[in-house]
Amino acid sequence: MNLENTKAQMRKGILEYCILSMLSDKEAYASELIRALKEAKLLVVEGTIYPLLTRLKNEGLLTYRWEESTGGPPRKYYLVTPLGSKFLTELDNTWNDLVGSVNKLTGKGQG
Amino acid sequence: MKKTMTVNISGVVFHIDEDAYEKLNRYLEKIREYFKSDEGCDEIISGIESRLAEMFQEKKGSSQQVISLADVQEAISQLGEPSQISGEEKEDLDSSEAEVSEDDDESAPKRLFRDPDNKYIGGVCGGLGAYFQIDPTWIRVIFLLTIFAYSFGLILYIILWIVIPKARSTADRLSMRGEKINLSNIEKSIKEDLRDIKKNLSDLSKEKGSKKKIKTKDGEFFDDLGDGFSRFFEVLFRIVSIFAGIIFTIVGVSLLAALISLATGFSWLVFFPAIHLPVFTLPEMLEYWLSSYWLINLAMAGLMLTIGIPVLLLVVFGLSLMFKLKGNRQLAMISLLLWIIGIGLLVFAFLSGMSYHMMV
Repeated sequence: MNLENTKAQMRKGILEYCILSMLSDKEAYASELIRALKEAKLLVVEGTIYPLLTRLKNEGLLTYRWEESTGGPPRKYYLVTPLGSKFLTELDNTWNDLVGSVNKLTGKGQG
Repeated sequence: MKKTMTVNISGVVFHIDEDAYEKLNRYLEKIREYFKSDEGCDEIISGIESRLAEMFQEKKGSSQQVISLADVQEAISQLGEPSQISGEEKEDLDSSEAEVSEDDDESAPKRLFRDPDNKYIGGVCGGLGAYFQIDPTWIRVIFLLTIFAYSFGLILYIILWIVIPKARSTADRLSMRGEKINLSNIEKSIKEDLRDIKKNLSDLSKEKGSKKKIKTKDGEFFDDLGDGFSRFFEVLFRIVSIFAGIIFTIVGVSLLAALISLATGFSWLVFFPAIHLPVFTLPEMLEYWLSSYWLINLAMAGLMLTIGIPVLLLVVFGLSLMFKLKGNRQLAMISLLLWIIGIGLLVFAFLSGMSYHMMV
């Protein structure tokens, strides 16, 4: 089992899930997402988020709007699409199931 | 004092040192390459540029300060190297490479090849470098130095060039580095090649005159020269082996003929009336030692096997040299077995014969 590879795979999927989740609460632009993810220690390398955002957008789970900002470059504000919300509910369930199964199997849960 | 340029990052104007600009530009180019095949390539780049603009703004404020190389380096480390960003693919490659070369130093046999991807003249140093896991540049240095020692290096290089085969297939190149020849490694190797090709093409189209380009040009010239050399030697070797083959075959056949005539008393010499040799047969000789008829038979059989088999092998070897036949393992085993049996029979026959003599 290639440790680095597995870790990266795990992180990638979870990252997408978290991004969707955050955006379903409220819309945000890239830097805000980066800040939150860094605070939660899920993101180490900022650049990772850009291909993810683009992919989610291309899959129709996200969409964006431009907003001019004073004294800075225009910002892309991302928001979740209805398809994205549906997707997110699925992921929520999947995540809960996963957590339950893994805890049981690795003996970390209460039973 | 440094030269600065004015640059537009995501619609915002910045002053930037020349060297910082170079570094930033190269970084963005690398990212573009990594995501070339992705649909959202442009979007990714524009997102990153936008982030860069933000970062530089935060750092420099609204003053007329200039973005320096250090600023760019910091931004890149924050944003991440292209390999870190592109996530899966390259991480797979990087980490699986590390794992593979640790694993397989013991499990995969490393074979010495010339490396066609890493060569100035013949790829000898590249191949040696791959085999011993040393930077081929050092090996080249050593060679060049030894040229002054009575051109020892030159001669050695030429010998190695002729003798060490070129790594042609992907499997060759893998075993050259000592990596296991399995599907994932081959896939990885091909991906690396594709990436190199892409890189070369984009370098060429930008007329960057990179070192790799020059190396390829020189390499081609010597490559042709070297191919000429090695083909010449290949042909030479072939001719020599055919000659040797003919000689072996003739000698072998003659020995066989002699053996048969000794055994059977049939004289081939009737075909060559000019030659006069005493004619005697082996069975008659054996009568001196062995009186019983069947002992003589045994001894004859043993003799034929013991002498005949090696002679036969000589003939076969000669023929295979001439006609480029492949060696046959089973044939070798069988011949060996028969030969040993022959010796056994001989020994047995003589021992019995001798003891009989003693008794008499």
